[in-house]
Amino acid sequence: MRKFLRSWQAKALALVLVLLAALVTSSVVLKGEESWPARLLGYVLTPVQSAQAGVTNAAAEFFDNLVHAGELADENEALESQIAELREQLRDYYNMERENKLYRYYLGLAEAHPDFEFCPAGIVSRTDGDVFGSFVIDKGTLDGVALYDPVVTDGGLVGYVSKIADTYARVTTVLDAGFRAGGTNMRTNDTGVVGGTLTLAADGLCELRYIDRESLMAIGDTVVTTGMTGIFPRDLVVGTIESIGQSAQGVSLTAVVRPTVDVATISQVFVITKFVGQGNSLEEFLASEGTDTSTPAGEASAAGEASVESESETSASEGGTSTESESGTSSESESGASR
Amino acid sequence: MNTRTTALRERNKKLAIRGLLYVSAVFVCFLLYADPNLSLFGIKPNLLVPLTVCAAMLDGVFAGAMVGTAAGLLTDMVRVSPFGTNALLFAVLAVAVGLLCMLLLRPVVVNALLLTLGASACYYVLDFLLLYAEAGYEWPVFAARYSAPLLVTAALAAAFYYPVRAAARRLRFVV
Repeated sequence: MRKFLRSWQAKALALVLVLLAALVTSSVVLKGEESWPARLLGYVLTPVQSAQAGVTNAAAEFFDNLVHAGELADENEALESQIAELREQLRDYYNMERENKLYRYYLGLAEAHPDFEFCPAGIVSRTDGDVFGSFVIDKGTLDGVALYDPVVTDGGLVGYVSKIADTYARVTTVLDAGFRAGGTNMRTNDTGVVGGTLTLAADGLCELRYIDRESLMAIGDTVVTTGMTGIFPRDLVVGTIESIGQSAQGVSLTAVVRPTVDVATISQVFVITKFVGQGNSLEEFLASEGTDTSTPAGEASAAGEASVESESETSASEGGTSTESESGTSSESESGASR
Repeated sequence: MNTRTTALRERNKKLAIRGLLYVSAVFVCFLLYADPNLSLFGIKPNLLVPLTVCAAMLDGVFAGAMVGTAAGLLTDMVRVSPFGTNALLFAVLAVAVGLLCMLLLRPVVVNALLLTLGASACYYVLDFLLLYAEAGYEWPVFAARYSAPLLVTAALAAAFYYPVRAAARRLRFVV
């Protein structure tokens, strides 16, 4: 013991203890700031500790995954089923959103036409390559839909039911070359026949034919249905006039009409299953009074435009191909008598 | 003369190896202690305490104090104590252990365990005073927070005793 206390080691030790005491004192005085020995040690230790922590973090994660593999698999399975459930909810949400939008349209139409009875329908397929835009809806006779029922959206007239089955129906649109409906200019009350042609259908247009050449109609005028055939209710918006020109025969005017409804892009429609005046055509009424209304133009002559008669015969021959292909449909749509 | 020179060289070589071994041991023990991902069933014992005690027991007061100073300085890097506090504590503990082993105790494993227990208690009491007592916490917090690390640290003395003793014998330390 005495030997040690007298040795240089004891003296060195005493010096070290004194230095350490001084270091502690200076650290206390400095408070927040580290002393230079600590900073010096930090330069050496920090990179080493960072590297080591990186290695142990990776190792810990590896072993953690091994140890908890079973739990992770269970959690994964639970999360996957939760995702599947959420996907279903999302799908239901989108369906409800679409239905909600549909029913808002429905409400608007019902308020505008309180006598209408509607059947909402979705478009389930379109005829491939058909420029006239005909399509199939997901409602049929079991849903109360009948042949020749008008098909509309909140924008206006789309077409009519041209073929029917129990659970689906085919719709012929206003663009179709065989389509016929009585139309009138809302502003000037000029009447004519709404129909389509192959050329116009490619541009999404139809036309209003057999208009009096003295007519004062103008571009931008709105065309609506007359309701005289008993197939389409009156005042259904067809479209707006884009251009006016003379007919091929030169005895009347023909207006190119842009339908308010873009039949190529719609996905939901309404079938009007009942309305006031359904099945009651003016032609039948006049025939019952003894007036001769048996012309191919049908409705146009029933409106009292004699000059249309010869033109309608000509137009029938002009549109012969499309008319013939849709002959059963167009004649039925004209007369409305099949109902 | 040649014999003396050779002996001197041999001594210096052993001193260098001893120094290198202690520096490496202190460094490794510090890294293991400071790593955030490593623990013994949730307990983090300070490995530098048993190392310091065993070095002081088996290699003398001066060596133990040097190891303790280095260990304490590194411990101060990761504790809230003012820099140098643990260094001073470890140095004082090493001197105390060294003197006890010089005068009273034999350098056996049981004494290593007991001395480590005492040294650990001093270390953790200081830690408690700086960390909790200043904030107003009372001694039951010490029992709750430090009992497990204290006992584990003391138990680890056995793991350090035998390697340090083997190295001391191989390098012909003063034992």
